[in-house]
Amino acid sequence: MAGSLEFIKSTSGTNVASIDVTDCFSDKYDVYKITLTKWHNPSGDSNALLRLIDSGGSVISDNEYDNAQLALRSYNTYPQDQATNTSNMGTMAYTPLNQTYNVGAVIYIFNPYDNSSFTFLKVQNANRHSSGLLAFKGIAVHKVAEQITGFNLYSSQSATQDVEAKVYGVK
Amino acid sequence: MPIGQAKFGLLGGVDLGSLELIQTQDVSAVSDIDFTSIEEGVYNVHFLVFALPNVTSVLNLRISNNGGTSFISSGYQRALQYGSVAGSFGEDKSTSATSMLTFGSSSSGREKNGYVYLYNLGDSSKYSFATEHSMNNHSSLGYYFGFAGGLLPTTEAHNGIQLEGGTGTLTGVASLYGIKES
Repeated sequence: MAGSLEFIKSTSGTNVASIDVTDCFSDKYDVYKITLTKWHNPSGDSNALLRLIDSGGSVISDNEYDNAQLALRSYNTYPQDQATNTSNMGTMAYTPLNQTYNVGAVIYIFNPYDNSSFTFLKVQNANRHSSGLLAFKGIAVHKVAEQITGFNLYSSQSATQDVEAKVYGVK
Repeated sequence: MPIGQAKFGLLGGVDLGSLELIQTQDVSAVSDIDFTSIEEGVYNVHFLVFALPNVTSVLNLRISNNGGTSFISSGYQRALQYGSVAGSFGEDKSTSATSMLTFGSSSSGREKNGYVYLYNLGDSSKYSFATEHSMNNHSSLGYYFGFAGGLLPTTEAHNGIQLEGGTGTLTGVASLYGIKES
């Protein structure tokens, strides 16, 4: 299909500990857009964290990432969160305990399939916290030049999730 | 030409793939820019991009639950981070806002340009959320960036979007797109 934004795949899961979105990055695109419109945790507060999947299908959980985020809160000041040599690319969404408000997030991933380049990410999202709006604006990098073919979303609290995400290629 | 096409380097109205134009409005000195047929049953993510070279009062974003007959003017929660070329950085937040997003005040016809993502508008079981990134001109701050999030904590379907100009007028172009789900 010709176009600037081309649908690649969607994924969803119910009561899953984490979700792998595999084989969504290829040599067809340099930039990818991911929309995340559901992140529901029936058992506790939960941040949706993102890791990359390498060409062998393995989730990269080594301390190979840097990330920085600003949390925008309607109910309080804005805390900063940053880490170097950490194990994930930061918070892609947030949900409080067992609330079905769900979330809105757009994530861009740059150069994942190029094995001569690091992989970069930026995210903007809006979520409902029990005290009000909680939104994140963030960036991240995977500091190893290797071929990335997918990504993994998992909960910071290791609980099961309901999740919906869609992946697009940006021409 | 829809400004989203220009923004993404798409000339000549080519097939936009999964980014589907719903409506473009090219306006001059109007009070508000209303999108009242947003196809909320088709798209769960909307993309609104605007280039308004002349905003004379304020620019805010509101949504509707009655097809644009009226736009909701209370109960929003939002948080904005801004930073100006003059070195002024700050926060603007509210748990009882009159709009989902604000792009700030403007006097003497200043510019406001940006894009907004809106999520789950048509899903009556979910809240409606928005995120934005914009570049604005303010009478005291000068040029500044803004990025923000907003939500309306009500589980109902929303079927209209308004760029609201307050007591002033808006001049420029705004385009609304749907992001196709498959």
